[in-house]
Amino acid sequence: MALKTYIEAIRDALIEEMDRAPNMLVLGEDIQEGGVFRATDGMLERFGPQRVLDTPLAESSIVGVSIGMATNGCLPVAELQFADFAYPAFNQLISEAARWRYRSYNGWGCPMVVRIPYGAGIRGAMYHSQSIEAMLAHVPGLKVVMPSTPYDAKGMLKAAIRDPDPVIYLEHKRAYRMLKEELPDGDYTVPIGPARLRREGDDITVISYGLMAHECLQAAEELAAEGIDATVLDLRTLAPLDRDAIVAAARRTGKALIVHEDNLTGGFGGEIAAIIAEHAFDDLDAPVRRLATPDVPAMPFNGALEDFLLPSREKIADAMRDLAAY
Amino acid sequence: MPALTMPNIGEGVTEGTVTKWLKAEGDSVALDEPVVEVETDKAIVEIPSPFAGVLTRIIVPEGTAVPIGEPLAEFDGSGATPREAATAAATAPAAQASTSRAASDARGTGAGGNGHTPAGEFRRTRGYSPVVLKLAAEHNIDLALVQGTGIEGRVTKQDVLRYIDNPSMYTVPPPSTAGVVGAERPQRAAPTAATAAPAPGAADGDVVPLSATRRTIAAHMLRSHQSIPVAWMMVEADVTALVQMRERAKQAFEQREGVRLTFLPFFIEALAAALREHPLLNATYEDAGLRMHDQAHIGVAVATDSGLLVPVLRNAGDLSLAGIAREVARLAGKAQARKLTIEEMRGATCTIDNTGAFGSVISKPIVPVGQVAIVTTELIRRELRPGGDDAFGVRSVINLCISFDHRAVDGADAGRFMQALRQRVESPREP
Repeated sequence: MALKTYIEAIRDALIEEMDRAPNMLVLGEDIQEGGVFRATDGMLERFGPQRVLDTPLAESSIVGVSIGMATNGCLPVAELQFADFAYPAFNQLISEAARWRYRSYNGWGCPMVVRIPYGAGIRGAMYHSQSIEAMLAHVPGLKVVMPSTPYDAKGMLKAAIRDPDPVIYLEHKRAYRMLKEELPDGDYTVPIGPARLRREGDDITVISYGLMAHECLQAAEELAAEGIDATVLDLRTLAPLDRDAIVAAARRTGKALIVHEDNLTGGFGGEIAAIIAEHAFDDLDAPVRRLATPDVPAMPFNGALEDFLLPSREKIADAMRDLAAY
Repeated sequence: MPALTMPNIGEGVTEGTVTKWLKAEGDSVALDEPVVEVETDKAIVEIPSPFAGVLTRIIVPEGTAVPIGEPLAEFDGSGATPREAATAAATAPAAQASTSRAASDARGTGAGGNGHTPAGEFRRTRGYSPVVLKLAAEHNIDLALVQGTGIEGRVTKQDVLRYIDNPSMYTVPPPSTAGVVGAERPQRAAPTAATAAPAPGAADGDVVPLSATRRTIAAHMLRSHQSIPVAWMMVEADVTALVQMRERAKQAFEQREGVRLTFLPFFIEALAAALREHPLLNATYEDAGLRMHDQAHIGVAVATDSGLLVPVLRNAGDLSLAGIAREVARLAGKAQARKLTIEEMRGATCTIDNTGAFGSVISKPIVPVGQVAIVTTELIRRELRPGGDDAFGVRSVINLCISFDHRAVDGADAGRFMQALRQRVESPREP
């Protein structure tokens, strides 16, 4: 066992998988220097410039090149510096990578991973704060994972690298050095797909993913002291989605709160709410509630405004109290 | 064409009577502007408009009672903006944060909202949630009997589960004001043989329709009368010292405290103290046992033009005499104005009624359901009495009466309690 931060868990997964798979390589902007968040720190020295590739500042190219590599026997793991910069690559992701298997009548997969740091709360303002999971999870053919713990970060990155299809791996920037956990020394993976019950309680159900799942768990522990006992479901994977776990968790209490950092309208919470409405209606005891960032065009630079907009542990706790009281 | 419907005004309220239209057909109405006055069995409330637009048609005339959810009036379709849309437009984007707190904060700046109904959030559209209905069907439960602890008294899933485990513990909370309350779930008194059959000469005379308040009083008096075996007792107290003291203190008290010093606060203070010494009288009789209340919440009967109302003086034992006087004055004022909130009328653990105000010297009150005793204070009379030295003197005397639930309280208990009450009113403390 060793105490690892979230970013160290990612780096360890990359290095261990590079050791395991000789056809794997990493590519992205400035990653030979370690990358903007130091995820690939030391990898150039260890694996050389043939497997640790610096790319031009062109996300469409990074993903397009990765698709070419993946369909020709390589195992690329691309890094896009910020989710905010991922849009130029959407054409490649959606129109090419996502439909490769469908288009080839199940003849070929497109085994690649695109790591994308997302999220706000680090005073990143307009261009370094976005959450883009709803747009990507909407696209059939892409797998989308959003681990909320160092353990899952490592295990799910390994599972993503070993997956035969394109996987979008969304990692919250604020989690990188904030979350620490004792990780087992040996090789392990965390399967893509299954959600995980982080906490069980009979009063209300909170459903979240990514860093917000961590915040929800903290809020739930806080509320336990007030006698409100919450079930907290961490989805971990948005596509493919663990619908059974969502329905079971919602049924358990009849009161569901969905929390995400992405803005409300058209956010992934709407999909979760619809699943609950369709499959758990008879067991509902309250309207399904969503807590999300308001529909602002971008995260403001002003820190006070950023704090006002983002779901926080306090806001989550308040929403949980409201729902419990309903 | 959007319609204004009879809103759900409070827990247990099932219908309301339109008493007064504040707007006429053709009038423009702003969002949240009061548009109609509605009387329920608990209060008269002004209903704010959920629309901005023009009132085009009044459907329910004044004086007519309709159930919750029935349309009251129609608004002009083009100009009418449903509350949600208007609110969202006025306050986007913050209102979308979907926390009720953020939304209601933001709404204050936009639509001048009164905060009664958080837009789109937690608004009750129906009585029971799907899971509550399912559980009730599975366990053959009458949901009207289940005590609701959710928002606005909503019956939650947890409430039903608790009720299934222990029905008597979680039955609708007992009414908490003399006769009136228990209005949590107003029950229409079932027609009895006497009322169902036409009485001789029934065609004679005019029928005065029952107000909602009158109907509620009737239902609860009947319920008490039919369910509680009442016993009664009276003691006499010499309140000469109290009368003299009040005479001395009342002017300074009124100047200092801003309210008149009547006898009632003294009696309430004494009652609260006696209840603390004799907690058996501060209880609720339940099938599972006697629920002994930690605090004395004293219902104070107030006669109003439209009937008896019983606001509740909370934690009476914690209040000073001046605090009691002020709170009684406040509650009585609100009762006269029919502005009492439901919260202010529920939860009484014992009730006092100053029947002496009407000249009564002996009365026999009805015990409110959910309480085990009600005390009356009668007229203070001046009488010629023998003193300690056998010489006659003029004394001020009062009768204190108690009706009590004999299931919970025996005569000996009530007697000891009344002695304690008497001792306290006979030796008052300076206010």
